[in-house]
Amino acid sequence: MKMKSYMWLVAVSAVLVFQRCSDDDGEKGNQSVVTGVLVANEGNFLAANGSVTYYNPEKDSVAQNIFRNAAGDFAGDVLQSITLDGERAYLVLNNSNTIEVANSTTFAREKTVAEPVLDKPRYVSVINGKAYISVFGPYDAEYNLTNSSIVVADAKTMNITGNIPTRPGVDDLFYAGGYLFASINNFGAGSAVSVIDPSKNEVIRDVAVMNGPSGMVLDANNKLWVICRGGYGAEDSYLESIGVKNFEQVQIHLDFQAGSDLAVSPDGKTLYFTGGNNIYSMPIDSKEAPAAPLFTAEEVVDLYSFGVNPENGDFYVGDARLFSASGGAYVYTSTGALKTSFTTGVGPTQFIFKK
Amino acid sequence: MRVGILIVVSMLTSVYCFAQQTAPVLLDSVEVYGITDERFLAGSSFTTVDSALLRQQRSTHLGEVLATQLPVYFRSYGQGMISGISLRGTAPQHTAVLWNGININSFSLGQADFSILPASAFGSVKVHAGGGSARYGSGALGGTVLLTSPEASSQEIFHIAQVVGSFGQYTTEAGGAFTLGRWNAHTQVYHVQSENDFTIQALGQRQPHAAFKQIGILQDIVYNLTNTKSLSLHYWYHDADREVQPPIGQYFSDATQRDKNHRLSLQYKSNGRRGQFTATGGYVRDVLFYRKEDLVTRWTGSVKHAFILPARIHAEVSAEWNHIRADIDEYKDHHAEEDRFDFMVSLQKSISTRLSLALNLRQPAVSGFSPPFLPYIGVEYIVVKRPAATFTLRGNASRNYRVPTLNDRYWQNAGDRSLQPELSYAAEAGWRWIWNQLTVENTWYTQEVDQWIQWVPVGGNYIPRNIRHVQVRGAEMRVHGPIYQGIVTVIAGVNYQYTRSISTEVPPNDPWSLDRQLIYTPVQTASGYLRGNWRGYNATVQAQYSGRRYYLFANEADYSLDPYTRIDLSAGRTLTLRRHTVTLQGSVQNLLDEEYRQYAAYAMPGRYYTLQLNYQLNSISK
Repeated sequence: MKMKSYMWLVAVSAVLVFQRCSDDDGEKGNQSVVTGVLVANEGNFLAANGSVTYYNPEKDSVAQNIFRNAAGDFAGDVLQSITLDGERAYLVLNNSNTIEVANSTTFAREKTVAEPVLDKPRYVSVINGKAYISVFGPYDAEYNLTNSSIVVADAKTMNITGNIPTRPGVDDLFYAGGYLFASINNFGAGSAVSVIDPSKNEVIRDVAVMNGPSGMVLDANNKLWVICRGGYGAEDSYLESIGVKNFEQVQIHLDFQAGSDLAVSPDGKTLYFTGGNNIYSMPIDSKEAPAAPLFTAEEVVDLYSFGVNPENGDFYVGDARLFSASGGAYVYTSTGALKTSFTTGVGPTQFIFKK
Repeated sequence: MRVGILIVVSMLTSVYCFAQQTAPVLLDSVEVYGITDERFLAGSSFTTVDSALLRQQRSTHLGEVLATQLPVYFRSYGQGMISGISLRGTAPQHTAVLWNGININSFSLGQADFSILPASAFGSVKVHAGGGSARYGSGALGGTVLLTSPEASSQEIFHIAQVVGSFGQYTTEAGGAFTLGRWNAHTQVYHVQSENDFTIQALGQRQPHAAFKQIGILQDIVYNLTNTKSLSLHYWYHDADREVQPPIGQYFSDATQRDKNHRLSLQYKSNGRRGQFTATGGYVRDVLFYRKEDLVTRWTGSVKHAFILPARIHAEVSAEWNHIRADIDEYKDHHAEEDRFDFMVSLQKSISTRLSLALNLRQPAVSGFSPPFLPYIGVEYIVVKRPAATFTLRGNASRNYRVPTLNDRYWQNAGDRSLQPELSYAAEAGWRWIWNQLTVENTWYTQEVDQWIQWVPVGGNYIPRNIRHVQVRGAEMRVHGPIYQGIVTVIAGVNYQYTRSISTEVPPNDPWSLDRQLIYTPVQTASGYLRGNWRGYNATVQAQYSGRRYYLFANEADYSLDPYTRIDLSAGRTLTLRRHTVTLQGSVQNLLDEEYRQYAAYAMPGRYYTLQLNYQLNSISK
């Protein structure tokens, strides 16, 4: 009897070992990212399956899950954004409360940054060797953000050197004209773009905008544009421009709820944004919103992210597919013709174009 | 005295059966009016968990015990964290958990959290697999877990047990019982705590922020008014305080959860010439503190009369009322207070010594909407009936339902009071072969769940909708019983289940989940145990296996959890010296040090150990 059950144990363990070996899908991550498109995939909330997809437009080749954290499966929980700076890639894991630093070519993991002050980090902007990290901070009992800030760290060592308190819900970051612009989104309830002077590490001005400022771009005239999409279920949105020196503002009303991503043409003269599955374009000197979309991304079910390749002006549209399946990316030419599509990780949230 | 004990036992188990020698006066007139659930649900599959086994596993929660006794899957958000049952391919909200007849599923979330049901807090645990709404009410689609308060064994006066385990685990339990005239009382208290800082195998780091602590008290009092009438009170308070285990790789978590559950049941039972009458009143107060306090209170009352109709048809007629009130901040747009009524009739007829028929009918009424009429029909036929062997064919068909949760209906900016209840049609057929106490069972089952509620994104917000249709098809095979009986006794059990739970209707913008297995629902599940006793020694090996589980509706292998096998080993010795019984029990859990998960990113511990010392004082036996 004893002998038999022991044999059974051995048999079971052998099966398990065998399964592990056969299930190992090998290292997908050893593809070098010299130029091309990176997709930050959020993953399912609390499933820690955020990942990075690499797409090479020249070879039309795709590599999934090119970065793996110390636990080995994926990048972590809710990969919010990726920032490239020289040889480094900063992966911001919103719900792991970490920043993974990787080599920007091999995507080999270099360092996991986890500090109590990095509570729900969002975006990273690197200015003069310093990493500026927007951080939501803790919730109170009513799920309100009360203590948001921009954490400053040495971009190389990631040792934290400072903390710049901001309005609640600081989100996207954009460096232009010597200032760091930070959209105060706060789940659509915020209504400011904060201007930070990196030489003083303090907020020098809060520029009032409409509710829900998100993505920002800089146009050919050195004007910063921000898309303000309102709160949940808002029925209209605004495009606002801010002069990066004089902070002069222009506001354009959109009669639909826009997506949170804003893009600009390679020449900096046309803005692109989304509303539902529609892609809109607007010349930067326009005084009013476009009357009709440029085209509709018919193939997309759940438009979740949008970007424009600065090399050739191709549109990249991310489809989150309700987080029920792996996401998809659809590439359209500047006229709106579908060029190609590829599979991404779960919840493609950001396109990063590496030159 | 012995009559008294018998009556207590019968009250607690709702099995009323006077043995001839204990009630000679009533011999001519007392009928067996109240019959067991097994007979009223003839054609169904029941599993009873041995109370000795529950006591042997004091340091674990009920889910961990059931996982080795049934083909069942539990999805736990980590060790000691929220754990939901998946019976017969359904979701955790599709199993009703009844304590002394009162449904104790969370009314706001819909499911019972098995991690706050300690294994030794119950006298008996019985699981009914398959559709049983007609007898057990809302939510009994995949099955029903029936819990009763602990009964002191007839000899036990007092016991105290201490468990120490890996990761700073300490469990202390003490209980006692006495009988004084017409009074019987039983008290039990317990305290469980664990640092729970096991090593996350994937990271080689200690699990942060997962400590938990539970305390509880159980009080049971039975007063026998006469030999045939009794009043009983059961009270259970459980307080669980835990750090919420974060997903692997999350740092600096601060979420904590506190549950405080008061459950009270007061029952009057009378066995007379015209039948058995039972009246029950209950009160349940569920406090859940997660950032802020959520309170759901419930008053329940029921009356039941069991009697025998002409042609020896066993009948039970009952009515139940529940008043529910939720004080939850997120419901502030609504006044979440409602009444639910249920009217039931159960009939059982043994047409011959071989053929048994059962019919259960229930009509619920819920304020706000009209729930369906719920029938259950079951049949059992003994094909072969010999002293050493019986072969039985059985089958049943039922209509079942689940009331949408309070969250589904009242959550601000999302809850929808016009949601329909989930509705299922279930049927099963099988056979059972018993040969010298060794039982072999095989069941084939099917279920269609319509109006399946899912929260779907609409305009940037998630709202509940009756949007999915799920088809469950499966089969299970079970073998259990003694395999050797002599100086050494060996008993064994093996369970295997194959279930396909497929979405056949899906949200229009979610075509990827069509014809796919439900998430976190293994197709294959197995479990088994082997137990041996020799004089005062005992040894047990038990195992559970779960096949691959997908966590995306599209069923992609990259986003799935690997199959796992978990084996636990336990050995102990019991010494009895006059009135004193001492048991020492040691166990190795997850013997193979298997790295496994039940939710995508939540670590479970590798190999760990527990040691239990139990002392029991017995009454002087004659």
